[in-house]
Amino acid sequence: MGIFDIIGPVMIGPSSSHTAGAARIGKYARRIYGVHKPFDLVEIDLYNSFSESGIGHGTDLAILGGILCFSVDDERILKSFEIAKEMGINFKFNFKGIDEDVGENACKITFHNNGKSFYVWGESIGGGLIHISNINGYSVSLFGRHPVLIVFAKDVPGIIAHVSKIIADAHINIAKAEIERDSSVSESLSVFKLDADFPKDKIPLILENKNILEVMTVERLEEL
Amino acid sequence: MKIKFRSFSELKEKAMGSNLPLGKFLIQYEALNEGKDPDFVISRMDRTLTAMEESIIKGLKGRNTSKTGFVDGWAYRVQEFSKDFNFHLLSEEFTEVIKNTLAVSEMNACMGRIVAAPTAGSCGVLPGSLLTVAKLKGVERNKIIEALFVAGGIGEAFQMLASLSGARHGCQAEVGAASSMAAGAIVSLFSDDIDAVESASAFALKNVLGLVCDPIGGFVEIPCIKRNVMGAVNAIASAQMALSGIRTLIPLDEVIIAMKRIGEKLPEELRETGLGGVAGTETAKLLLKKFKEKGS
Repeated sequence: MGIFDIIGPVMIGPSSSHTAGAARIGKYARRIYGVHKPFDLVEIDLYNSFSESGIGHGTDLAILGGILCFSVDDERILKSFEIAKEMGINFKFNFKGIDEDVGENACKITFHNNGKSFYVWGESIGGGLIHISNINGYSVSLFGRHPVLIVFAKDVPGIIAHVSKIIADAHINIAKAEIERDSSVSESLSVFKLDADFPKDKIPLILENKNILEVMTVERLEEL
Repeated sequence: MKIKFRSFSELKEKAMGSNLPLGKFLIQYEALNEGKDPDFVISRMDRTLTAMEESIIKGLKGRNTSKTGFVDGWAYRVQEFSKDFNFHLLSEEFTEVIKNTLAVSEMNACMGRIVAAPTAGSCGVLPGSLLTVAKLKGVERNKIIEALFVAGGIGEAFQMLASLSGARHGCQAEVGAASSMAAGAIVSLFSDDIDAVESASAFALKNVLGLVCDPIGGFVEIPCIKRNVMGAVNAIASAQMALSGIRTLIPLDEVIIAMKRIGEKLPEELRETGLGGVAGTETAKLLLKKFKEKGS
């Protein structure tokens, strides 16, 4: 904690959890999916307090604003529905009501593209802070405070060694790493939280290993 | 080397050891801990101050109405009424405090741009009290920036000893904390005496111990916005007492701990759930029902 966590953030009201946190979940989910990657439809499922009192708090406007990459203090959040429509972005909100299995202020954001879907689960944990708990069925624990490298791969030995060698060669420290496997399809997801942005020109080096299916880099939320 | 403190008394001791006024000491603290230049953190606070000032100006431009329809141009009414009739119960300055606080809290409820200080629900208190006093007294900008660091330092003590969440400790930890932070910050505009800062903060918090968090429907509108006005007025009164030389017999840290203990005893209905207190009244339930029917 620092002084600017107390005197701040500068944000669009009315609620740090239901508005500022909601916008950050949207923005971070979009960064995980890929800021430049197109999609046909983004679907947002709202749960618990997000579903029950989201409208009055502008939670829907804020999440969509975040998906449009607006920051928590960007007044365009108020007009995010109109702006999305002007940009030709299709979006749909589903108010899912109460579900005790997910967080108090939780949402699932699904990007649909060409019949494929990609989803991220996020929750607003108070004071505008967020937690991303799941990416496409893999449990993760991301707070947006580190640059992240995400690797989808076949569940075979040597993936971590291969990737961590390339990270080391780029002179970047790994703050934390998480590995999750999905045994039903024999695939895995590795998340590397880094101390610096992973250079995009090194991604082809990672993909030289034919067991690696997809690599994504996610910038940190600069305001956190 | 980083500076650490775990309570207001530790902050006071370290600031006094540095021979710097509290605000200047906290600028050093923030710069060292974030690995930045003092100029960097000063200019960041300058931008934060600008955002606060803009929230007052925008909030007074017209009638603000919220999505629920509860907020209905209150700040604007105070502004127009006092102008039209030149009527002030106390003075123009006092009306200014009320009007500016309402303006910022209304901006928050109406999805305007505000500074959460320490929370969005209590965002009217610091601009409404500290900024209004500073402007009326012609205080220099750099001094106001330092006072915001003082407010932040006091807020950190709350965070370390208790919490700034209405859901945990009720409104005493939101508007109460904001009022306490503002009281100390106002004193720091006119005095470098850290005991005076501490006393003002302690007075303001003692005055609102036990205050529950009971927003209708969970929306930061009723009773929150008018409670911000209470917080601003309470901050100024507390600062006036401390500047007059009255000193708190109970240290601020102990008052914060008392707040925490009270917060822990508050039932869940009175901690931001929108169930008890004002939110639990028959009329509140009716108002909420009307809004929900309109929305669907």
